[in-house]
Amino acid sequence: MIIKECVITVKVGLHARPANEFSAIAKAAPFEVTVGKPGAPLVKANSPLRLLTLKAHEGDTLNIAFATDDEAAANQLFEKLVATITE
Amino acid sequence: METVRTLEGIGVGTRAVLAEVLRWSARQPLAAMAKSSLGPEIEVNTLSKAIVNLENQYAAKIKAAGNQELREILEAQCAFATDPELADLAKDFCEQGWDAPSALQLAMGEFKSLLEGAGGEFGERVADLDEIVYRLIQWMSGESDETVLPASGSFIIVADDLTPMDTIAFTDVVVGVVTKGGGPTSHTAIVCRARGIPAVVACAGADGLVNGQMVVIDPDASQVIINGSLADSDGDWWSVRPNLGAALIPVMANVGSVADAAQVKSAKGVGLLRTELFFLNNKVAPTRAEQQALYAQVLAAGPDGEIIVRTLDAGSDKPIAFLGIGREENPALGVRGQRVAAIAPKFYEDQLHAIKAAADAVKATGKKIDVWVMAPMIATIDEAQVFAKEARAAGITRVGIMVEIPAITRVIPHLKGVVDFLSVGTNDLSQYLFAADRVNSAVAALLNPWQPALLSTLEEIAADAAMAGIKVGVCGEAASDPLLAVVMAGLGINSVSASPSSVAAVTDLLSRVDVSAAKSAAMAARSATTARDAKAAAKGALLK
Repeated sequence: MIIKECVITVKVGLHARPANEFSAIAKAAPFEVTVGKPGAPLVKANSPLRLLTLKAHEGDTLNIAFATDDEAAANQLFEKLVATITE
Repeated sequence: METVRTLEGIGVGTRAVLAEVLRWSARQPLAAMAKSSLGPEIEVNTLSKAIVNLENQYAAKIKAAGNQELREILEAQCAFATDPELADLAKDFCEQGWDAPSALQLAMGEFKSLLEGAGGEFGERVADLDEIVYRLIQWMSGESDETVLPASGSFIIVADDLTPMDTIAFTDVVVGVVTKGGGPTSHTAIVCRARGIPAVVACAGADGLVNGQMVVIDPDASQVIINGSLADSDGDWWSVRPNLGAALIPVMANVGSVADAAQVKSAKGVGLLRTELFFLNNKVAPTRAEQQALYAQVLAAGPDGEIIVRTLDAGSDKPIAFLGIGREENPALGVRGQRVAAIAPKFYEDQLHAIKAAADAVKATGKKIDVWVMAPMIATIDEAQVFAKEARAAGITRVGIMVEIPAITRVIPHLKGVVDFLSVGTNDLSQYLFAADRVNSAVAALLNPWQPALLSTLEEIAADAAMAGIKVGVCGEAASDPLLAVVMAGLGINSVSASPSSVAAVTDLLSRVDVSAAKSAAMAARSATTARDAKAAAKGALLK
């Protein structure tokens, strides 16, 4: 398991188009991806409904967890995910 | 003859329309929760079929959605409907013995409860989740209460409120819309505006309208008129005034895309060429050459005459990814408009040179254009000087600024010799003058452009600019209201720039007034103490 941290900078927060793109990328990953606010339980990142319930706004920090030991693959996916929630 | 009655709401569009009421069916309440008599396997199967069906419905509607905003709403709803987490949770409830509709409601209820108490955009998504449950259950029950639109005729759809799925089903027989709910920025208003369907939203009296009744929708007056005729609407009341052959002041067009530009080829120039719309989706800054190619395309497609290009107006409600504007508590009061040039100087320098090069290239093809450049969000003389210096260094000969921050209206005499022209942006000027957020429908009434304080401000701006020998135009939405454009002319404004769909109407009314008629309309409006009275007084003055 590899955990990485990022900050949302898209104005709408994690819903609508950013959440759709985020979940689609997580869905296509060869390992499970989970996400949550620091200190809160992680939810499945491939579920737009779960992402919505995080109520993550612009400026919030997110932890993204990758169920793999492949650092390179996790990094690559992390960059793609971050691109959907940053401007 | 029955008495004419009116219902008040918020108008969307300007064209009045008379047609027959067709009530959009109200939603039936969902059936009570029930246990399954068929067993979990069949219930789960029914639900998954319903989801596949709904996904197909969404796919068709997303394809048909012409408007990007609407398409994104539908895509988000579709993603929720097909979320495997929803199906898994509903399956658990089926296994506990519930029938499919009940299991679905229980499953979605879990997500809804997690959103409870979330205000703003997250709280609003609950309506999307309800919509999905409703559509799925409707399919499972085999009943459809969807209103079927007649194949021919003209109808005004009346509803409590409409969802994007409803509005996208509208065919050409829908000529108007009245909703009890909604506001100036609701889904219904966005779709109606995009499709050119006149509407009155937030109309509390809509309940009283019945099928078959003939009503007039008059969005310009924000009214629904019962037992009236189009003559009662604001639509073409001015046709009694003779056409004098030419508009009293030039009517230019506001343009934000190549398509807009092509649509207004016959306008007397472009009073506002917005450049931010080209870059909203850019992740990286465009190069100077890329910018130049884009501007050249718009300039070539648009009308001849004066073309006023506004430098990038980013920030606040128009985020641009590549500029690096940070998170702000109050973005409308933060780094936006020309203020962004301080953090992204390279882009702004490139932009000025690209505009100049594009103008020269298009002029070289024989097109008779004169390209002017102005900056948005200027608050001080100092800022105006800095911008003017940079623009002139890039070879631009006619340099101006937007007047949209109240502070700059107090120092207009000092702009003499600094800038060549002024353009009043009434949308932002109202927002800052009335301390009323443009994107908050709860304060929309304060942003009515007929507000006496705004008219008084316009009058002062025009007088000060005339004294300083600087030409002043208005390019805000307010100039798309023909009557208000006449009042502006009467207040001393030198030109107006309207949205592409309003140029013809604004030109028409301005062609039916002379200086003294415009002045009397302006004087009548200025003597009123409310927005409503100001508009009525101006109209009264022209009908005298």
